[in-house]
Amino acid sequence: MINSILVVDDSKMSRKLVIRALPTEWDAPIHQATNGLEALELFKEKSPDIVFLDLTMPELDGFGVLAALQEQGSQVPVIVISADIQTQAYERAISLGARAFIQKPMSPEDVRKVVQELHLL
Amino acid sequence: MMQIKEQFNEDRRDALQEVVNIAMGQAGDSLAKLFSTFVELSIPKFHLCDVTELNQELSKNAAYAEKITILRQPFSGQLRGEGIAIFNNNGVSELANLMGYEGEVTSNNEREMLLDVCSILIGACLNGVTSQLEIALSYTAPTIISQNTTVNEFFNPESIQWRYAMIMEIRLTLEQYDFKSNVLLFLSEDSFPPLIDKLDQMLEEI
Repeated sequence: MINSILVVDDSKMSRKLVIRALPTEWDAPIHQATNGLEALELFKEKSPDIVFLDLTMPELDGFGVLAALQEQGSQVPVIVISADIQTQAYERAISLGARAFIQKPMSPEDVRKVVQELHLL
Repeated sequence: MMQIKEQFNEDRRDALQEVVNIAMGQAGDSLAKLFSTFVELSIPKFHLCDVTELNQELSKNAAYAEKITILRQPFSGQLRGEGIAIFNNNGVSELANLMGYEGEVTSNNEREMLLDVCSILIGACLNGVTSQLEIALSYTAPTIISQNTTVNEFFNPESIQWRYAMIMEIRLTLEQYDFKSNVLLFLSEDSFPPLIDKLDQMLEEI
């Protein structure tokens, strides 16, 4: 059951695209962060059930967010959505606990497919 | 100038930065495959300036304080401008190792390697931009325009035909190497209206 969603991306357009792609079955509040530090604050404050996370961001990047969540022992699924499509970026994100990796530019179908695979629908 | 700056409002800049971010992600991936190492990408920086202020604008970047090699790849079509790849001189000397070249490195080999890397970087970046904006561009082969130079020596405002330039700048660095590259996409002022139309279309669709 998804009761709260956190979308993290420094681009307003990308956040909008992710929000538009979220499954309509999830009738939950959506919180938005524009960098890694804001993301960690909102994560603590709003206790999201799922996080959509960009990698390349100011202040603290997505790898830093993943490392911080891993250190806290968080089990909340994090789906990375990134323009950095290098194999090494994927491997690093997965090793830091990301549950899935979607390459930008993404489509709503990409998001739906991943959440289905993770049994979040 | 104020009028031009107003055309690139926050939403349009954000959309353009994201387009370039995605395009450079593809360029970074191509370079990572060529060098077999992870390429760190910066967040794209947006500059809009009078060309007489170009040096001042670019010299804010500490990376340009050292000696550099500059290559260019002009493009035209629905947008007109130049892709510029800038490499630090220390990084240029690492290219043979990065590309697995085992023979003696002559200045000709080095030039070939530079042209290959520039072509991969700018080509992948422009392909990324054109596919997202759904536009067609044609571009010519890259050329080396200056070696062992500085930004101030290179960007002579009097040699630029445009009054205003929009520049998207992104930095690529490699783990465990001195190699650094800055990619600049210059757009001429006559490209602003078609670019803005395309950005607005993207923004309307979300």
